[in-house]
Amino acid sequence: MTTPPPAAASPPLAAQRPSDAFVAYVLDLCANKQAQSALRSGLGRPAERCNRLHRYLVRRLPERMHPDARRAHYAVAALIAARPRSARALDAERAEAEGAVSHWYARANLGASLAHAVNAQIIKPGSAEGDLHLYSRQSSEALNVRLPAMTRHLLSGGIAVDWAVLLEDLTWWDRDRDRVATRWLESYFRTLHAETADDAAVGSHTDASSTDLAELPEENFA
Amino acid sequence: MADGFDLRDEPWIAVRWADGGSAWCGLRELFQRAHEIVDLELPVPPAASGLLRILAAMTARIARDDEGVRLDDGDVAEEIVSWLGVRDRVLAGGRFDPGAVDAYLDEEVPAGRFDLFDPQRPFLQDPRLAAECVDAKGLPNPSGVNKLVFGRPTGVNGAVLFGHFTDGEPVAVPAAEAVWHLIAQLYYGPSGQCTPRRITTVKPGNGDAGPLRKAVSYHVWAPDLFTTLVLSVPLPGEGLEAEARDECPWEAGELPDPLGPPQELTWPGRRLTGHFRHAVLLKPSADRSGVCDAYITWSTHGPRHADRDPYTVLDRDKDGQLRVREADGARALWRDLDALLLMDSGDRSLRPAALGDLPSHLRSRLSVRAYGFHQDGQQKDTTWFEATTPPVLQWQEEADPRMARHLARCHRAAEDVGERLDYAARLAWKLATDTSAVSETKVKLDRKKPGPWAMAARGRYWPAAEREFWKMTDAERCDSPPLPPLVNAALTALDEAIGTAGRADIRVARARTRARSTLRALLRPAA
Repeated sequence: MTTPPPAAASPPLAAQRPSDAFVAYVLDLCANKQAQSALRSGLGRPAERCNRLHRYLVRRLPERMHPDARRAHYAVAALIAARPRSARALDAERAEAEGAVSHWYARANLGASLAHAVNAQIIKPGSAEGDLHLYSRQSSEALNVRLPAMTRHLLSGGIAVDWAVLLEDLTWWDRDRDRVATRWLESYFRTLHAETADDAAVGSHTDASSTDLAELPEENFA
Repeated sequence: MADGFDLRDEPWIAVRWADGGSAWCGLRELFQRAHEIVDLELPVPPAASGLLRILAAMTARIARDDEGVRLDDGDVAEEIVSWLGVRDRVLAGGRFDPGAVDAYLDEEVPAGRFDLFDPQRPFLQDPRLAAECVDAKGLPNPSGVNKLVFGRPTGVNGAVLFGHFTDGEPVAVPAAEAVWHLIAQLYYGPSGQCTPRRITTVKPGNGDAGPLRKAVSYHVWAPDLFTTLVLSVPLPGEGLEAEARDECPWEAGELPDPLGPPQELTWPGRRLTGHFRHAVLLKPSADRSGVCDAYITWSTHGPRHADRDPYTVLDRDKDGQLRVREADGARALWRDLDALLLMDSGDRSLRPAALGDLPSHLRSRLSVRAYGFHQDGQQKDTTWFEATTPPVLQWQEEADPRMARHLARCHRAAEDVGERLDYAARLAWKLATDTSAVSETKVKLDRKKPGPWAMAARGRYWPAAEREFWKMTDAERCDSPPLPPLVNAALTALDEAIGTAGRADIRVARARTRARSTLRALLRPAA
């Protein structure tokens, strides 16, 4: 539980990516209680029904925007606003501690965050893999419904979620789901294996973390 | 003889001249202009491999230095140093003496011996077969021309896939091509049942495999054929003390006795051309331009000679016995390179004798030419191949020990990574398809169910590994560790074999991560 994820939730100082800028903007908004509660109301809803969010987001976003991207921005804004109190304090701490900016490709996506959670024994490996397995075959609409519970669980356990990475992944989810899901799965397993079992030797594949993998949901779960 | 096919002057050997043109020539032109020839272009590699042995035996007779000392002179050969001196002077001469070529082809070998259809002594054939291969009624019982030509279907059960030849309707083969297949049959012929040959009252109808069956042979390859031929004369050694006079089949006065004891092996002629287990007789077509039928049967049932062929690699098997390295059509030539460079590559294999004691001033220009015939020990032929390396012999251990060992290390690393990749791909398939295997502490893999990824990964890895290997032959990279680029190549091969389609599936992703970590484990220093 002591190992912090390599990539922090706070945006890098030299925020050149639009996604980072958007996340920083939303974090600023959340300092205001009224704005935060308005943003939070969009949790799990499609962008068309997020009436209270338009006031804050419409002017921030370009006028012509792909519906996928719009929905992703609304969803992530709501997720940020819905952070539990402990996560807000943690974010503030990290923002002060964070100095170096890690490369975009090295930043933790949701798969890596889940693996950190498993390593920290916040989630059981079986259920983490079950969730990933489920996500990797759902549309972003269904994913948006499930994400709030997942991020709340992660954040309350002290695991950071990189919002900018999540924002971009959600933007492309419907267009390029396989690739994004592959990236999540790969980071998940890589992070998991880096910190737990060291299955180096050929022939003896002991893997402590995969003991309850037999409970993995079957193919037609979704 | 007007109605013969004289191998001395008829064109039958495909060669490439220094000016780039390709042509066919006979033995006389080949030897007289050998210094202008850059390559042999026989389209049948086993025939080329056999022909090189025959030409090497003739070279030993023809080549002589400026004082007229012949390369097969027994007295000179007693001292290896003086023999190497003669060879160096022959090489310095730069070409065969045309007079010596004529003298050998016309005078030393009795007339008619180089004729493919000579009634008494056809070239490399046995005229007695016409009388000995007969059926119960005393009628001739030939084997058929399709049996002679490699690649044609034979008998009644042969598959007609690539050429519509049947024994009921034989198609004659041109005489020039028949010589190639004659040579290939003598060196690589099948074992087992063959046309019966009656000499006494019994009529045995089976024979042994040809001396080079299954083998891949390595020949030193110089920029011109003259140097190639002189360097392919085996070093004097075994067979030097024999009592008998050294005679090649076309020089011998008598036909060999099929029932008698095996002939003594003598250097150099018999060591190269005295191992045959088959006897062949070609039947010319009416106009004598082709061969319309053939007898192919056994020539001896005596014990095999223990002599080792000078152009093959010997591998030591599990029992410590030396075996000739077999040709494998799916294996690239560079994977044998360590066996060609190291003097005795550990205990595992012995370098071909013909690759030893090369003149140092030529080494940087010498390549290795491999001729292989992938077949089983009996009747089945799979594929044949011909391959040439870049000039690698400059890195032989005696010339450049550091480089030779570096290359051997690179090759060893490539083989290790290849083996591990095979394991990793099979493991990945097992983990991806068998959910119960994931939770087992030790995954059991079934050799017979490798899954589709292992072969695909191997097929992608080996060409990539070859590119990496030749990159590593750069002398400046002599000290860089060979493993990292090879492991990267293997990881890429594994990813390509698994493909992108299934990767979004959690089982595939999990299996892939495990497989990748087994490959990466190679990079970790052994604990």
